[in-house]
Amino acid sequence: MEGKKQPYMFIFGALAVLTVVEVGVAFIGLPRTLTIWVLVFLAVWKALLVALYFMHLKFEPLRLVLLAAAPLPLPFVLVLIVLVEYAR
Amino acid sequence: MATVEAVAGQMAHAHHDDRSFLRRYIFSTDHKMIGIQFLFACLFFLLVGGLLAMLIRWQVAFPGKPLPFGGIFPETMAPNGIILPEFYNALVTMHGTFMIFFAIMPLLVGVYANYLIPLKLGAPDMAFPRLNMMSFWLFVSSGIIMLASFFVEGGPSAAGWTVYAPLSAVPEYSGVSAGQQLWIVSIVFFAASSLLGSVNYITTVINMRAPGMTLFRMPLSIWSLFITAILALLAVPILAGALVMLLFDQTIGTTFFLPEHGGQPLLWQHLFWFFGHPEVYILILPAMGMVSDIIANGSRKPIFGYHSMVFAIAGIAFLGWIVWGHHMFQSGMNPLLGTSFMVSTMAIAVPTAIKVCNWLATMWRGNIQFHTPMLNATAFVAMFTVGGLSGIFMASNSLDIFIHDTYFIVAHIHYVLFGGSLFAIFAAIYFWYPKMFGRMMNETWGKVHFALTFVFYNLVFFPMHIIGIGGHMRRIYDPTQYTFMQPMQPMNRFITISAFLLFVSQIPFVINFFWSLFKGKKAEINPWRDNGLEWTVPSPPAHGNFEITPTVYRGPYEFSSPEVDEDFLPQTTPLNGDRRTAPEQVPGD
Repeated sequence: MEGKKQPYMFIFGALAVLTVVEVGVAFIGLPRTLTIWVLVFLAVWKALLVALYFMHLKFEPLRLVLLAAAPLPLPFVLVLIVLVEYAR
Repeated sequence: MATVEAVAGQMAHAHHDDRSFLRRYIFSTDHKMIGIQFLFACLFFLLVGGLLAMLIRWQVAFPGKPLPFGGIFPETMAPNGIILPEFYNALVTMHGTFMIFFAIMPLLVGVYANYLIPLKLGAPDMAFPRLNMMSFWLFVSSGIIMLASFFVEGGPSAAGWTVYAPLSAVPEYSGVSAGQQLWIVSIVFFAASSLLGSVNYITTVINMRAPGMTLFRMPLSIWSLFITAILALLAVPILAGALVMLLFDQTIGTTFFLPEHGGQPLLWQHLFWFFGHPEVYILILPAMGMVSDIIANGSRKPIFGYHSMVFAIAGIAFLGWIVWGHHMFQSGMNPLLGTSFMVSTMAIAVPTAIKVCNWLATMWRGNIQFHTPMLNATAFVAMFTVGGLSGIFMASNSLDIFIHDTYFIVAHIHYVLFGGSLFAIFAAIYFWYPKMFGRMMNETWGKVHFALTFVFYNLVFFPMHIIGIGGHMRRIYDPTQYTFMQPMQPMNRFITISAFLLFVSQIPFVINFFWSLFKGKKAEINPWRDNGLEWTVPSPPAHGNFEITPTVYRGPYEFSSPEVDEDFLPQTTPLNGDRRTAPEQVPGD
């Protein structure tokens, strides 16, 4: 990355725009389920931008990327069990 | 990444210590001073937590009777010295909060991860010394905020240390508003402190080990602190996120946890315990690691099953993520889920039993030296085992229906956190005190302190099993209001008197600690004849730790080796056949 212009301000702008879109989605009156899926989709993109650029994972070796991704099954387990509770 | 050259470069400056008083003792970036700062701060918070426990015990044993010296409390807490029910709820909440977040956890991690990791790995300092300093001052800030909550209108949080919603989310329910918000803000500060520390510990262990210090030559204390840091790094953000949601429910009208507006109180319990159960292991794994070091030293034998100990720590840490539901058996959980949580919880007994058996096998036929650290470490093994066995009862979801929310649970957590963690902390304080302060603590008074603590601790907490099985609720303001609990009052009074004596039993420790700072016998470099790298440098070590970067030739538990005349063989002593040229440090090997 040395000598290259860092895209941090661009990423900041993208995150701000995505946040505005999220707020908009919450108020335009889409069906509840669709709203949730759209918000999750947008949130995943925001998380990816933060992880790839602000946390530098895009510029790190694959093993470090895998290390950062290793705990992802844990939130999956948490969300799955909470959903099982709610679905009853 | 810190390389060997970079470390050597820092070494060149290590012993030119021209820092001002402020930089050396207050805003220090030296990991040793930060560890000592944590030690003093945590001992203060331990005292606060202990005093709160005394107030709780007075109320349970003598409900409605005025406290001795009770006139110091305001009318809103204890008019004429008589504890009000709402103040009792606050006492219970703040006792748990101070003991868990401000005493046990930082005593184990803040003090000993900071002090031991660089010294035991042969590094001059932490990977990020300024972050380390920031971690300590965030911790102090969070403690001050938590203490401040005693002085706001409505008093401190009264929703229990688990701050279950909606009790904690709606001020009208608990009668506490500002105090609850300060609790949340304080713990968010604490979470930030913990995260900065964890990043530091993990990076230091991976990148800054001395040449020859392979992962499987690291002491078990460092292994456990390393894995604990990983647990904290992954668990604490969940708590911080959930707390911000709770704060929003309190302040800006969101309804994440409020059922009347579509929120889910059980979501709070899931989020809290998804953090909370790994937290339980954050509170015990470092104790296990340090006790392993001390037991090997006190037995003059290599630790039994070193590799199995490492894998057991990792196994406990992994399983710790899939057991949180056992705190929620009574929440109306899906029975299938309850069973799966029961099975995963019982599975944790396997790596735990491996550790206990290995400690016993290490002591078996050893040349045991019952110095004060060893006495406390041995007590850890015995008391932790009692706590572990009562845990198996609670893991059974059908049995838990009966003992949930009774004093049986209180007995269990105190056997693990006092009998386990706190005895390990005492062992660690006595063991590493000479390295920290350059003086020995008095052995005789150390043994007096140990004996009194061991006896009164058991007199306090063992009877709680009995009244718990009898159905005595925990967190109850006045046990005499139920006819079936009235026969338990003599036992309650016995527990309370024992608790007061347990509190008084800490006086020899406090006097010994502070007296030895100035008048204790000067410590040698290696008073316990140990093998670790910290025992190769002066007591206390200079800024930068090592004159030259040490080279490591073996693991830390070579006691009674037939290859040498003495009964210990330091990690840095080369023998014939050892490769004298230091191997390149291979991060992550």
